[in-house]
Amino acid sequence: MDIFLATLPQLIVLGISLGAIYALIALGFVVIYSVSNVINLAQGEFLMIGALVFVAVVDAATKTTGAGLAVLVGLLVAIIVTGGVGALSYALAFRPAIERRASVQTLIIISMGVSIVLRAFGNLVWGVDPTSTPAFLPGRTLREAGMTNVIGDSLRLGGVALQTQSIWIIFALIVTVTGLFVFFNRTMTGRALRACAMNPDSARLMGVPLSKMSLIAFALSAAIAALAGAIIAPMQPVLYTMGLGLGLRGFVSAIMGGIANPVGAIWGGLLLGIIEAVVGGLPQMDLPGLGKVNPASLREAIAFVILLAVLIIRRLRGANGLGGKRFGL
Amino acid sequence: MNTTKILSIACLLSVTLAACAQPTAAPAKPADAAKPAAPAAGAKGDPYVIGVLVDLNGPSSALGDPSKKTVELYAKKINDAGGVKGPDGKMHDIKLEVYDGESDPAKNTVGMKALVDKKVLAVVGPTSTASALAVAPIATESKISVMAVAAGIAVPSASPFMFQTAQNDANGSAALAGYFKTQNIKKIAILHDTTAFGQGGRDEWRKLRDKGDVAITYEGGFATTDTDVSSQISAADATKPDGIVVWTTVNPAAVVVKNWANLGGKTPIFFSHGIGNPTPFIKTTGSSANGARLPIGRIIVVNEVPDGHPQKSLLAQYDKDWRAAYNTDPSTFGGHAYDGFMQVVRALETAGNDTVKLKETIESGKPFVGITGVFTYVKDNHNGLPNDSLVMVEIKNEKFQLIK
Repeated sequence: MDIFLATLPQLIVLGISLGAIYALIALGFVVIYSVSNVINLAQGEFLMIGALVFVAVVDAATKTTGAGLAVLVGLLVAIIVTGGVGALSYALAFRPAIERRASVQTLIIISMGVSIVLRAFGNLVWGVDPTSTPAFLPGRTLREAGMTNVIGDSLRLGGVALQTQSIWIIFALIVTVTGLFVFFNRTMTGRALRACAMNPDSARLMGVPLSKMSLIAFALSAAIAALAGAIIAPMQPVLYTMGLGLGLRGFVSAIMGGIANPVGAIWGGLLLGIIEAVVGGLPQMDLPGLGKVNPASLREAIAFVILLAVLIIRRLRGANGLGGKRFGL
Repeated sequence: MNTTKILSIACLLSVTLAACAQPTAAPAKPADAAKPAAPAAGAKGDPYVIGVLVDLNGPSSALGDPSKKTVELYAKKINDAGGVKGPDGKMHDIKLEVYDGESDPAKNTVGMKALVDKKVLAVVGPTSTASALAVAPIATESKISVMAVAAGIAVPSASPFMFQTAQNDANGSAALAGYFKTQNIKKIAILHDTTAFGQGGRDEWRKLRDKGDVAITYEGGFATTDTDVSSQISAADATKPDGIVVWTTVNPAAVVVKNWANLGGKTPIFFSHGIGNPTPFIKTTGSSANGARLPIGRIIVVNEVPDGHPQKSLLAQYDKDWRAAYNTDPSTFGGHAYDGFMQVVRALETAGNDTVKLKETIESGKPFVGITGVFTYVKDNHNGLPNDSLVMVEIKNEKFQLIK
């Protein structure tokens, strides 16, 4: 237990970095759900497409432009392409069903179908071998700049290692949240989207084209997923199956936050990340009746257990997740 | 949809072209296998049907893909040279029935049943230990030999009709433990995935601990779909071991080694022989895998294998054939499939359509020089590999290099 307490600061730092990713993915769920009432289970696949496009562009551009610019170009291309994939998914798969007043369950099944198609597409185009990119800010660059507390691609702060990539993740989360805030509160399109979220029928009567707004919401949320995908590309193997686990965790985070509440989604993501990281670092325990249990092995199950617990609590309280406020940051 | 169509057609075309560009060399068979005679007109028998049950989708697809490609490559070579001469004196083409197990033991079971219905004489695969164990009862019932390319220790004894063509956990841990003795590494932390393969590895290390070979300071599990295992590495580091031993396959290993490097790479890290596909591993990990050491099959370091070694000429030939056909680096997983497939082919020459006789021929104790090692299958040993079929390598400058 002493050993566990000694590693706790490190585990929490890891958890925040992990959670910020989950929060970014969760925001994608929230944006789509708020505007169109679709729980889009293909969100993880948007992330996967974004990450694969990003790696492909960075690989191709690094030789001609240098690493720094390649990352920038890669981000732009990944966001635009994936945004297009999001819009296309809406136009081809969701719109026809929504126009026929399909039920929420039907739309969920459609989103599962979209995720399978996108995964097959990723497999067909990029094959089965994983790939990756170097860190945006490689430790080598920092060492050459004279920083001494750099090991690998991470900074040493006290006894805690902080990946340079984690800083980018937090930065991306802040930029995304600020961007969404400005978009939803300060632009006409953003306000129209919020109007659709609050009361679709009234919005339509006021002349807001609901279908166009949903299209924008899908493109926007696919773009956010692509950003998340590009930013974790240096941290884990990038391949067509990567969307499954990440999409699930983003979904759980969004549900924890109340599915329509962006602030709640961020808290949900961070909480899930920290819980996962801390559980992963727990030592083997002797539980009465169960014998020796290794909590680290059960980490994946924890996302599901939390999801069930939150759903039950919500049911009992009749509330909207951890936070209460619906949309509107 | 159109793009998909065009892409799939393009893929098909390129595969066909690559196959056509093959020089029509004789199939690389072990020297003691009978040479196929020139195909005589009218003496052609019915084709021998062999099942290929491998994971082409899901987490083990990086393992299943080279297996399938290898079997296809050598089946074509054999057929181009006239086929297999059966005990009836006729030449038989090899016909493959490929089934994708999608990294799911349940789908592998369905696939095994489908292959039995298609009257296959033997099956190459499954890819994963869990899937091999799942199809074992069907192998016993249908009396069809299964040449599993999976590495779990429970595989070879799962059915009298199951053979293992990969080094198992016991081979891998013994090779690593032998190396630890030379390096004075006594205390280790174990990180394993929660699949049958990972847990089997952990159990082998517990046996070595009980024998007094090593002390274990930490045991931690992770799922193959986990995107981050830094927590477990921090926890392992905190117990101050001499080395961290990671028992998992290629993709999860890439996650582990990246996390390890980002946490400063404090403790030397060792992997299982499950990382038999260096190219995607290195592409994913970049420089973060430098310093990692692992036991591996000789095909990975084929150029460093000394000329007099019994496997050398076969390894060199396979390396050449694979590169000519697919223009990538070969992997051990392709090698395991080669060994399974070619041993079936060799047994077909004596056993023909009789699946029970086929099994008995495979386990008749006749040595087979393969890519994985020199196999000697007997009735009670369906692994048949000596521990020296693995060599220690270190990843240096983003390359697998033999530790001499």
